[in-house]
Amino acid sequence: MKGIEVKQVTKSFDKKMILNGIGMTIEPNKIYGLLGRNGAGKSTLLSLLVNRIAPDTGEIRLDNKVIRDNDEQLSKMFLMSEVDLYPKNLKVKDVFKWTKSFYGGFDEELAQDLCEKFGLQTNIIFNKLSTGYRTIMKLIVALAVPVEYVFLDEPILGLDAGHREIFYNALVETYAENPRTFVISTHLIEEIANLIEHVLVIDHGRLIVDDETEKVLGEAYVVSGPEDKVDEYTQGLNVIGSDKLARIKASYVFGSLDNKPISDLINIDQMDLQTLFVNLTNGGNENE
Amino acid sequence: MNKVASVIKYDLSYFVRLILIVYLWLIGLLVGIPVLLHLVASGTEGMVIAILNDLSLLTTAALFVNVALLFYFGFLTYERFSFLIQNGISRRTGWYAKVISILIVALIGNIYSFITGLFALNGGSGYKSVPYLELYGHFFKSLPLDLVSMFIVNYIMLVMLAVFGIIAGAVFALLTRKNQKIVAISIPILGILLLAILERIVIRQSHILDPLVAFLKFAMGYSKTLGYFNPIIPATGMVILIVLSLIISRWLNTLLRTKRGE
Repeated sequence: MKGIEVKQVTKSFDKKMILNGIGMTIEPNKIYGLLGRNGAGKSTLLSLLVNRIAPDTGEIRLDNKVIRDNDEQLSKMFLMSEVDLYPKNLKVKDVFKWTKSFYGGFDEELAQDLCEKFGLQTNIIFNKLSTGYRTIMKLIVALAVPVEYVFLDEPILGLDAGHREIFYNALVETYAENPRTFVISTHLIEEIANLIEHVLVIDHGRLIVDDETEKVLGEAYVVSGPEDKVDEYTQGLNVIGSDKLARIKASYVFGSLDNKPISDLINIDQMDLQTLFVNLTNGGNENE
Repeated sequence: MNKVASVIKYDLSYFVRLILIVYLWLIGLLVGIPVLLHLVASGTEGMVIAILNDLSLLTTAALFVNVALLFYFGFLTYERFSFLIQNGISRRTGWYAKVISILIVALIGNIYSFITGLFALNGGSGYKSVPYLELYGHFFKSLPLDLVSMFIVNYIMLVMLAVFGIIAGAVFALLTRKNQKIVAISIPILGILLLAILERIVIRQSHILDPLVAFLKFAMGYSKTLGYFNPIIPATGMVILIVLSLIISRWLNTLLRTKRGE
């Protein structure tokens, strides 16, 4: 099959289990959102996908071939990560040059265009760039490199609102021109909610949501109204969290509403992705 | 261009540039400056002898510089690995490319060392002006053969040191930053301590080291029967060490991983 298959992958660091039996498939030409709280295991999963680290157990295949020590498969993927893996004394233009050499191609026109839009000078040594501009350089490489799978781990770290806007526009344009898979891991869910087609949520090392965004949000509801009426309605439903203000309550339901009759005193609205994520990874807490 | 070739090009862009810079400095410091000083102090009188003496020193210095640089090139591991894995280059390709790059750089270093050796050889002091020939120059009893063996044995030695560097670099890359600091501090201290202990032993009971000295002589190819050193013995020993070290270095290479938060 085409795509990346992750089969029962586990990974521990210092005897602490970071990923616990992750299994999933990443399909070609889709935009994924990889969501999870700090320390949930997102960066570890992305590092495993590109063989920066090896899983303790399990296997990762791309187009039916194991990725471990496999140049052909590794050259189909690119991970833009929070950590800087570029030589400190390399100039930006040399980073572009070597990326082109190693990947066998690089969209120099796009890179040049983005450098101008972001105001990134290519004659500067990577180590002398600010945090924001390091992110920008890595983003430009990620968008210009000729791969089928691009993983973006915190792609907007240190970017101001203007630069984030440039990035989102560039992402949409490049995806429209040359469809490929993007897996975006970020804490700013609201900003990418409209972009992502498929949601992956990791919580405590386990994959708890792996579905199309539309389908996931289609089963996510906010039931609000008087506390007793809301409790009565949500009894037996999958309530993942709730908020309460005086006697008004909002319960977050993820799953089918079972065609229950709806009282005139309660409202049912669709939940947004951020609210769903917060409640899914909040352990069903009640906020009063 | 295939991936191995791309990585070799990347490696050589750094290795060759650095090695050439060091050689130019070496020539400037050991030949250029003394010649200038001689010109200022004594004019052109005795200039040729002064240059030849400087060349002899340059030959010895070239050997040490090659040893240090080749070990250093082999040692460079983590930053290179990070950059390569960031660019979709597997550990295996990175390792192959490094071995080939090291072979190329060792060849460049050896050619430089060989040329300076030839200059020194013609300088008047003969075989004594070239460390290798002083030790192994009696074996073939033929200048062309001695020169060929010098080139080959020195080359094997440089490659061996570079491969040792690869192993040391890989072990170092596998340590955490904290453990790297501990090792970097403790190894020189242990080295000095060991030397001090050895010195005391040599002073008090020199015969204790006799077996070690005998082994070292054997490893270096000394033959009591012949009364001089045989270069084939150390060359064979070094080739075996290179093969074993390459196997170990490849295994260590498979264990490399990017570090969290680094």
